[in-house]
Amino acid sequence: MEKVKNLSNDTDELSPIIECKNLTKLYGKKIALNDISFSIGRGKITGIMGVNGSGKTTLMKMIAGLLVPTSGSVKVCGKPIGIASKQIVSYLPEKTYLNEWSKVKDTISFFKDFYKDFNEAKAYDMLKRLNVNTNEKLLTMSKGTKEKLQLILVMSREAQVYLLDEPICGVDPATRDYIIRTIISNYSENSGVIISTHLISDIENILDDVLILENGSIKIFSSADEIRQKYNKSIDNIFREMFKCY
Amino acid sequence: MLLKLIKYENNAIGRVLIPVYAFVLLVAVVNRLSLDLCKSDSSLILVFDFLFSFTCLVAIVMFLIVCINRFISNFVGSEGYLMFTLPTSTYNLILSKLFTTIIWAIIGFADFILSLIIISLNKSSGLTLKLLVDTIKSTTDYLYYNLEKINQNPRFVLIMTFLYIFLYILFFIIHIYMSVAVGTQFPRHKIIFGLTYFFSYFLIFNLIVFIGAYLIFDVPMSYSIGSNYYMMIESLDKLEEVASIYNPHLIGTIIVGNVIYVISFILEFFGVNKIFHNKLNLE
Repeated sequence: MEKVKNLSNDTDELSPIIECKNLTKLYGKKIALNDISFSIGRGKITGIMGVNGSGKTTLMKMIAGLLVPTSGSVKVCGKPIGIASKQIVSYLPEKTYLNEWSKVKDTISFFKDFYKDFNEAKAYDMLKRLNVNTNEKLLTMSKGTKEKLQLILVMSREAQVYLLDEPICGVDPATRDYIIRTIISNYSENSGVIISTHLISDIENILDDVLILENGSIKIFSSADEIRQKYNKSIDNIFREMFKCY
Repeated sequence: MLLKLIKYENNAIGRVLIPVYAFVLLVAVVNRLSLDLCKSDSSLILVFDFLFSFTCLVAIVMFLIVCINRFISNFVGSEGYLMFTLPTSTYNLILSKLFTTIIWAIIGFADFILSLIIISLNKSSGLTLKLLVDTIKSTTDYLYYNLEKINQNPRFVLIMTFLYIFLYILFFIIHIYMSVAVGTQFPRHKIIFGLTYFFSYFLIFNLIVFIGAYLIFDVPMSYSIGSNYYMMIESLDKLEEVASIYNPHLIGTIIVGNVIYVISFILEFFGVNKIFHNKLNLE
């Protein structure tokens, strides 16, 4: 397929929220990402998919500034990865990254202190809706509750780019629905949401664009509707057939 | 941003070290009471003395573990996902760790001195606060006299000595950070590579100090600065003897050591910054 593709025809005057050029990442001799180039426009929800080891998390981490590319470049809203890009990117990793001894309200204070775009009222409202006790320590929380808290912290920022790595993987179906509703409600013309997940059927209805990675290369990058029309199937079914294990 | 980072780092370290430092003070108070109550039972006094020494040792080990662990978990572990996505520079992250460690090292030292004063000032030993102040004053006078006798500026030598201790702590901390950073650059056996760097650099470092002291101040290559410190520790019960260990060889080695510490600190600080800024590979 064509390596460089811009899906943001409607936002040509503005820089794309993500722009990757000839991006390569090697771990020793192993190729994690192989010379990929693409750009993602504003106001879109983009799903990054692929089997384990296809390079999804590596790509997310490079956009977040946690990995340095071996070659090529990444820009966020026209800014190279650095302090300026970190101010506008809200990243949810698949790992728990908060202090185990912290209380929920301490983590809220931390985010309020470090991110100018953090909306404290929104965070407390979400905590209440998801029944998370603000005085509870993370040490005593279940894995699912910690994931809820991390998602609340990330989604309470009024960022330009939300990078969500497996945001619904460890939570119950009811919370999943709430998270998906939250992601949609955060939609704005000037921001973008990038979601990496294996639970395609749960989120495919909210996706505008889909990027499928295979062995560190782009296999498909198109709008979700175009893919469904072309294959006459749901994205979940296309993915299952494409990567069927025998 | 740096102040905010220091604030959170202080909270994280303080929650562990405040109880540890408070326990050292508590043991000092118990030790002091034991001196008052068990005048004739010297075996009990020995037990309490051992308990205090052991508590101090535990406090030092705890301090090192907490500070190193904070750096590793924040820079290499899962908390790195939070630290490295904060809108701040890598050198701010390193400086916040460095400053906080120095603050807690100073608090720990003050805690130790206070504990010693609590234990020392008791009726049975006959040591009073006035006597302690007088002893320190007479030691300082004797030190000034000794240094002038060997044609050295006492104020300069004292500043250089305190600077040496401070720079040593600073260098030691940044050297640990650098060793961790070097370890992260290897896909396997990170700890072994980190430790190899830690010890080999120390070896080279000491060699440079001795060669520098030999070339500039004609200090014999066989001269060891460590032996003077052992003498100093051994003679702590007679404070006046501390003053007599200064000699031109020791002063020369301290001056060269200070210069090398500063250069080494700068090199390693930029090394840590470069590795975590340009070669960050958070797993």
